[in-house]
Amino acid sequence: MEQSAISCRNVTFRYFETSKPILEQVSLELPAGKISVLMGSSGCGKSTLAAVLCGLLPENGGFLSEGTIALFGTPLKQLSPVERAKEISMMFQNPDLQFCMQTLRKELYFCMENISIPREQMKSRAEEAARAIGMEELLDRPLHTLSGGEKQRAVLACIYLLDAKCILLDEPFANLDPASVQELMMLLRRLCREQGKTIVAIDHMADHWMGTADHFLLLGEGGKVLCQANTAAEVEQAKEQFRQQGVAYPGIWKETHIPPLEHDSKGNCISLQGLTMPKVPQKRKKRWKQPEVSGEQTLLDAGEAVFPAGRITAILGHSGCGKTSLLMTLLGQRNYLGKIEIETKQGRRDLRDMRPAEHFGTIGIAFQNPENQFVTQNVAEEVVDGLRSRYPKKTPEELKTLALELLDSCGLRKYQKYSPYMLSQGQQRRLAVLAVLAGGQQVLLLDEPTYGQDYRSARALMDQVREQVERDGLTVLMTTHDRGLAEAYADVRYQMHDRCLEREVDPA
Amino acid sequence: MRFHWLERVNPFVKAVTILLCGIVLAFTKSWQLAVAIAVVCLVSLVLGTHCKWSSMAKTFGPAILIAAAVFYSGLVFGKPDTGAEPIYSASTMGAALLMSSRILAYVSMGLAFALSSDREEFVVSLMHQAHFKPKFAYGVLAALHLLPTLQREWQEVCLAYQVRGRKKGVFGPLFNTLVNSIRWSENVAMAMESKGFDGDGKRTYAVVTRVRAGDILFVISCFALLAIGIFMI
Repeated sequence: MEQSAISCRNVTFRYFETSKPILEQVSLELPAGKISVLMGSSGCGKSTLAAVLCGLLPENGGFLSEGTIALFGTPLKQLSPVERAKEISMMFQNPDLQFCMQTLRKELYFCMENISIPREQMKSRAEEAARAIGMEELLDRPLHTLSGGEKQRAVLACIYLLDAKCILLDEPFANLDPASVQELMMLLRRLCREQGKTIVAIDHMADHWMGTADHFLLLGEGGKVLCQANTAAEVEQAKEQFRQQGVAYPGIWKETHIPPLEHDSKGNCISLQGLTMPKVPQKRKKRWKQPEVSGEQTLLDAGEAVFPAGRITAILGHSGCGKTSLLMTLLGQRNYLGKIEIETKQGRRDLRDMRPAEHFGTIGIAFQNPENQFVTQNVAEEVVDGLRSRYPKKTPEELKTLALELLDSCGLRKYQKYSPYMLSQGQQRRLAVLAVLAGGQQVLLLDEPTYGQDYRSARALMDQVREQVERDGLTVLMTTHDRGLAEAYADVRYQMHDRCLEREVDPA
Repeated sequence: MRFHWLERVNPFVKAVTILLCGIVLAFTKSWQLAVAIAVVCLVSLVLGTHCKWSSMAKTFGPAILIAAAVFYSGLVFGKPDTGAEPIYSASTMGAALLMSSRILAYVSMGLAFALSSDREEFVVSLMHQAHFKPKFAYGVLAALHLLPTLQREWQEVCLAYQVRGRKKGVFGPLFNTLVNSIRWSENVAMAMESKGFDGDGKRTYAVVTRVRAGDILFVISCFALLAIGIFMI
């Protein structure tokens, strides 16, 4: 029998001594030298399991009340952090929060210091690791200026340098565009096939891993293994179970395709005429002064587009192509060239003529990270706050009843007394959208609505948005790199690439 | 002609020396000495570092303003108002000069350290010379390097407040940022540990700062200058 890289038996883990265990009696074996993927919905304990397998928990909090974990046959408990790093190393979900030094070179030095590599060898080893991962040119660039994909590659360079036998990845692709995912995937495949590394990934989407992974494990509540699949055919068979757990598999969005709503040219909510955005974002000035930029200095060059009213428009494109900048420009936060016209209650207006208060009364936004936009400490209060500016004449009691009704409509009522920070990521995002819409805005900008979310919560969010669109005639503009999602929900799609904005037409 | 000898002094040694000089200064009563110290600090900044004029002006400009304000109020209100006498006299003049010149002296001492030291090198020298634990030193470095991310988040939170039609304020966004940064610190700590970082374990160092002959010369000359100043002035 082949050796197993990680074997854990009856692991039970809880964050607080008296709380419900987040992992309950988990037992699994992961084969060495293979690529395995652990899948499960958000909140099923995947990330906790990863941290426990790495030995990061319970060391950094929580209680492991039962069970044993062994790495390549050695019990995890006997290993010091340094020894552990040589066996297993981890890549986390958020690319921003994995470095403690300023540049990749210094970060690599830091890794080598940890495993006591003599100073004389550091320079050559760092350069070799960077070469292997294709990061040579970025060695001395400040890490915070790199893109998400580049940061994840930088982490991989560190792991390569530590020479860990097993690489554990916790949702490594949560916010990367398909091109960066492909690049990382190729590196991982090479590390596995050429150097015999064991790769264990945690993900809630099977799409990326088809054709790469040797082994799929579906985790249910409490981290229990529900089923295993080794081939595409077996995944096909297990589809029903995947769906029940809210995990996406290839083609899941297509199964529930909603026909796009018809629209005519009269009902345009936002129109862009010759919109040019500078590459280096310029803050909005009190008095609009048009930036002088052209060609290479622009992110978008003379873009023309119309976003129909009462419909969902998706903007697709790789990361860094300017999708978020476009939303910021529409919010009036960036300087631009050209003309943006917005249909408001008072008729058609030029963005440059609108005052911020008026502007924010028309357009709302839900950011990638919903935690950044809560303005109160209570779920119900969050919605009431939005409603108050919309209905200044209503009494607090009336507002509260209205808020509870709204919360009820998206299944958040039972959390009304919670702090927004205690909700799960998916719930937080739904609350953020609800709170923004409570203000009565007619236009909603959604920045990467599926970022860090599993299929089930993404679906719940999009259904909620869709309902508002059909019922209240809300106009939605969302950026995403999930083509499946865009095709399933958007009535109009635009592709952003090479400084152009191009309308996509369905072949049918 | 500008050199960078001040930048080459071991940052920890530099910090301790300047701190000690500051303590000694606190027990003297001569405004001439304080002015002399300020001048020496500024001159060594100009001659001994490559710091930008603008960064010097940014800190020193406001300090001059504050010193001037303290000087004026010391001059005018330094003595209880007894009615007939002129509002200022030689004694209030001395006190005013002493107070304001001290402000300048302390600010320029701080500047001499801050503008001539690399923060990373300072943290490394804390480990090697002051025997701080790596856990502490690398924690500080990690926090420093999170600042750009923090700034970005802060802008986003402020924008969110505006979008929601709330007054920007400071405390609202501060709460959000605080909640975020607590979780970040956990995340970064786990990432560091997963790279084999052991707070107190054995490790090698890519950069080792040492106390060299030049550093000792720096300490001796600083105290010598101070002693000369105290006895001469």
